[in-house]
Amino acid sequence: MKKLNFSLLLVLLTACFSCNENNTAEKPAENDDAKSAYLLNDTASINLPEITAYLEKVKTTLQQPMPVLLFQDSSDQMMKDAETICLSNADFTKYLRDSISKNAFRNEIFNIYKARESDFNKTTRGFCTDGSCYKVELYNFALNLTTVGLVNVKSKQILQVTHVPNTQPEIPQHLKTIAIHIAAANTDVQKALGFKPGEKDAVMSATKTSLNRSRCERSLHLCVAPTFVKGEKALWTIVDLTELKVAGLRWTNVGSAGPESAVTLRKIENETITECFCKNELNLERNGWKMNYMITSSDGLRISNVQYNSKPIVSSAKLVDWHVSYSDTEGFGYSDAIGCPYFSTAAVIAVEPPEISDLIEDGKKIGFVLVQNFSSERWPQPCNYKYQQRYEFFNDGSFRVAVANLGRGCGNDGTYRPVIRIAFAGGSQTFDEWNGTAWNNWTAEKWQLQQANTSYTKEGYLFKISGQNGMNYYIEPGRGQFKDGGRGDRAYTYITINKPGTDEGETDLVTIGPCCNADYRQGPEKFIEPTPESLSGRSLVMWYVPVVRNDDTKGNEYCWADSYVKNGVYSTRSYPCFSGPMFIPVK
Amino acid sequence: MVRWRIHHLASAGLAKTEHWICLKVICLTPAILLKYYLRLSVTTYFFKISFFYFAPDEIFITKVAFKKMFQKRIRSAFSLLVVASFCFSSLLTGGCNEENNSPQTITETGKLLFFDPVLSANNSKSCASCHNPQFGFTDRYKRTLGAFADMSTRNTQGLINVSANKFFNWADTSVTSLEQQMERPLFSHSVIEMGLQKYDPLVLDKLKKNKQYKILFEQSFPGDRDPVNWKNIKTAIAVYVASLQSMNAAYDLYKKGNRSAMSASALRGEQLFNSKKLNCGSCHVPPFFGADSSLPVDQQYYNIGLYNIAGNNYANDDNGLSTVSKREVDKGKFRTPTLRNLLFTAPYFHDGSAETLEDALLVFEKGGRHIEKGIWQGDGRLNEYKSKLITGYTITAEEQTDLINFLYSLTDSSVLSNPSFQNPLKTNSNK
Repeated sequence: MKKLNFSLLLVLLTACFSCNENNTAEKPAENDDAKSAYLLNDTASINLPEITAYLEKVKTTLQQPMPVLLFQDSSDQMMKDAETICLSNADFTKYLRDSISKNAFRNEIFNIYKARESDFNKTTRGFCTDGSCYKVELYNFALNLTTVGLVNVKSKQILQVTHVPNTQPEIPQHLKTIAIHIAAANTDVQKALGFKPGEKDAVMSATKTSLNRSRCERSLHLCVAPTFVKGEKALWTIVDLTELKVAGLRWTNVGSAGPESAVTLRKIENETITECFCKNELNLERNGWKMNYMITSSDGLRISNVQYNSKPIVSSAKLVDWHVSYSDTEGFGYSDAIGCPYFSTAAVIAVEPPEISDLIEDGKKIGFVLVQNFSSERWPQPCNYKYQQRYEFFNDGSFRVAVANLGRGCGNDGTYRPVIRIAFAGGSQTFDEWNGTAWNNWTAEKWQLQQANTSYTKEGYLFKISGQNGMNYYIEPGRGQFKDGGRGDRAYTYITINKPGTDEGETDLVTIGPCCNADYRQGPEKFIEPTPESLSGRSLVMWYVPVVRNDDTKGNEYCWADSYVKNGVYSTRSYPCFSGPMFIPVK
Repeated sequence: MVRWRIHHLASAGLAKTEHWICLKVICLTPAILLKYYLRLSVTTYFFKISFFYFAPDEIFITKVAFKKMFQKRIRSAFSLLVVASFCFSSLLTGGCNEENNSPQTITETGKLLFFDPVLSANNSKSCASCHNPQFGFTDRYKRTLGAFADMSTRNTQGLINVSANKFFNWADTSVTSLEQQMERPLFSHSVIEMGLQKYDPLVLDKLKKNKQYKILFEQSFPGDRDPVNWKNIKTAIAVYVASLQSMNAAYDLYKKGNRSAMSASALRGEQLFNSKKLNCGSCHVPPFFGADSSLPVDQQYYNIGLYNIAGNNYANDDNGLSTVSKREVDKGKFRTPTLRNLLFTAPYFHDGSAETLEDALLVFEKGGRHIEKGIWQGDGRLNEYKSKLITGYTITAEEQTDLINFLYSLTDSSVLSNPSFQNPLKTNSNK
């Protein structure tokens, strides 16, 4: 019996060890097979002559003492001089190489253009009165960093250098062309479309995008999305310009496509708009209000030095970006910039001059409105966009900074997030939030989301800004109460410090946020994190980012547009979505 | 059996239980036997000594009784040995349970599959594309888009605690298992989601060639000669989905005794939620605040008066339960969804037609939805088949805030950080 027991014990103990081995064996380390399973095998593009030539240039550049691929799209001598001056500046060239290994990063001058009024701050404006200032934008592919230099070519002086991490300048023409070629050459694209697309078939080729779970995620690489519309669907080719290959394909549903040919828009000569509204600020005085305005390169229509009854109210207000997402899950869409028709690579440009008209309620003039429309060339066809900025000024001192999407776009389930920047006038302000029972002061830079359970005062106010010289305003976010068809902003509100000289948005900004973050990371958080600064005694900037979803449901359209036949010709029907805060004077 | 397993594991929160019971039996048996062996020896020695030499009154024992006790212990030890041997042989051939697999490995396999776009025709969509953990395993679309941008008919439902459901579809009572439910997104012809109806052999081929999957499937289904097959794929995903359980909302913490977990406003909202006036709780039943699976079908599916298009019809030709039951009275009936994690799961209703919580609450406040223009024009409040429970109510703005605060207290933020719920295939975007 004892022998039997011991034998059994031995067997069972052995079994115990062996069963552990069999069943608790460690999972193999995750290999790349599964990860790469969803990455496209994009080899078609590598042999394209355009890419070979471009890669050769990049290779040669990396071996140069100054590893910067020079501006490719112009031979203007002033631009070349601007470039040379910037590249001889130690601050401008600070991040060209890895700080430890000294290996060269891939750097390229993306844009050089004559600086306009919207590119100056109070300090630099005085140095550019002779019209010799240029703006030079350098992109570092490795660090995903944009460096912007403002230079006076005549005096050979560099006036300002700004390094903005995780931002990307507008895409230069040659990279746009390369992106289209990469997309068109891709076999998966051809298979999906059923034909080899031509260059003209691609839309939105220069608009920056992202795609989750690829290297384009959160715009960490420079990515664009040449998009091909096929029937009621659009094929997005996410092209990674950092690695020069296709990062992914995605389809969106664009609804009924409408007519093949575009509805003819009333077009003003681009030259006229550029000459009259892009180069210099214009003055506007009306009903006690006084301000300057101009169309910027990529921040829309900007108003500045806004005064009411000679009291400074707003230093400047503008629309920095439109973040348009077609999937919160997959994170792809566009980062749209709006701006001038020339000197700007913004895809959605001003096609009409600004309009000023009366605001009328119950037959009475209650104020006036300054309106600017921006449109893609073939709007309202799929994957074309139209936006509007509206600055409303009321006779009682109230004002509203509103923006609207006039519809269509590249999918019928899009989310629009306009990034509005409002800098208040004066040396310091305080900012308060209504907590349901009292006003709570914000002591440091922070953000807040307007949600279903957000409390408002009886009048509907959520915030209060109080400044010097009696500049005291309540702030009422959109909740569908402004009779413009808006259905509520559900906005992120950020308060940051206005720091003249450090350029946190005072001058024309590059695209500051990726298209498709579904949370507070819309760009302004860059000026808050990692260490929020105290607001005490500082001049403040309010960033307001509404979150608006489109709808193509018949009878319930919102942020949508379509074409229909009227009197035998195509007409356009737009269903705008308005958003933006109202400012009401504290009495 | 598979279904039992999933439910058993999920409902008891015992994803690893079977495995561990088996291991414990095998590993503890030698110890127990050793204990028995030693006790028998010691006892024998003790009884011999005590009986013949000390024999205290209280342990007076006869030789017959001693023999009986000895025989009984031998029988017990033998029985234990039989059980252990059985388990041991099972494990050697693959495992203790009927499926011959390890739940832990199956869950891992299922998790990997769940997040891998390899399961779609064009490598663009995974299960997680529509069931994204970041949004409570929904996708924020009104109606989700498939791999080729076909728009599905219904809004994506969340998956947290889904294994407690009896039915797994908005309006199809024939779908009673997760594996059944999976058929639709994977292989549907009518509305293409993952689009595998023609590509499934290619996908299987890809999985078989993938080293990691090969090992995982072999470990998960060791008795299977060709473990990478659709049955096992669905089983693995179902096991993973069943493991998605979380009850850590402020409401749960409050009920467990943390009196500061819910605000005063949320507590007032709870009272309102259960009040006669609103009576939300009669359909949205705690603890999941959705349909109570133990109730009859009629008490799980309701027409809440969203539409009334020419003859009580619903929009998009989707008449809900009546499509399956073929009963006119079931028109517009959809399964009562859970109210947990509402903060992450907008838009709401079976077709995502309420973009915000305010929009959704307005429907109940008004006793249905009146659409005044467009192709879906009609007064849902007057829908003949609307539930009698949807009568409308009037509340103040403060009460509305209280109600929303209560509904938000059902949001379990831990699902966003729970590592078990996160994507194991996250690309290192920083290279």
